[in-house]
Amino acid sequence: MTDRTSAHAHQHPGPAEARASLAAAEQAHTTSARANTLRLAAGLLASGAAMTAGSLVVAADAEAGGSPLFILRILLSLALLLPGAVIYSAARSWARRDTALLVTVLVLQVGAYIGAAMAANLLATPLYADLAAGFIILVTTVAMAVLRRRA
Amino acid sequence: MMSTHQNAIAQLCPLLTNPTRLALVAGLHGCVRADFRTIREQLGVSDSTLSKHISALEDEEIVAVRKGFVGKRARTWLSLTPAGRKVYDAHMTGLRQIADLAFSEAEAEDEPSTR
Repeated sequence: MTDRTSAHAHQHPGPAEARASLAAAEQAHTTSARANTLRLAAGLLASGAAMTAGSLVVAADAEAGGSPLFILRILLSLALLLPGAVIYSAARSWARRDTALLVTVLVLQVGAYIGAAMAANLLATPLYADLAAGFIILVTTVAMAVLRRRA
Repeated sequence: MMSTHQNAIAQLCPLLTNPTRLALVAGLHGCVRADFRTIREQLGVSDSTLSKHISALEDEEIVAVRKGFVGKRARTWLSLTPAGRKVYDAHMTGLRQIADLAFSEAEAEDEPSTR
């Protein structure tokens, strides 16, 4: 790297220019951080919908005492992940806080779904799967609220 | 001894005194990475203009450029290097000091008149 102070030593910004530069940099920073917000929101909504539908299928199946179409219904529920993946694969920037938010929300959504499926099967209580569906909707709503503050 | 103003100026990166380059680096500072097209749209500049700015920043090891493919489409990913983050942080500190200095000077000028 060249000496940072010597190359353009005559280009010192004045106070007004410094304030304008700070404002411009802040604006660019915010715009860039928001670039992926809609795609991330769409991806998390799709995963939330998939896990909610899956939990409700588990609850309904446990209540009905089993169905030959159970696996098909679970697969159809989880297929809601596909539209989310389609839109998310088009993401063209990755904000630094996106990873933490994505991982946290996905772990909570998938964890609630798997936990509910296990509890419903082991304890034969469909209520746990219904509660998991409610929890997933709550987690997804909180994630949308976080993303809305950024948008 | 270095004055506050001199100290602030010493922290500035000459490359970032250009508004487009500052906006480019500020945008990348909030990202892990971003692609060329996204940055071009955010800055509202042409491909060639953006390429020139990126080359200048890449030469100074402020920005890292990685080319790849998503499906059959070529895509250029940009990110700030660790050194680039330090340069940007120092530049912003310098700008804040210069901006604050103006307020301090104004307050100093105002004080005698208020007595």
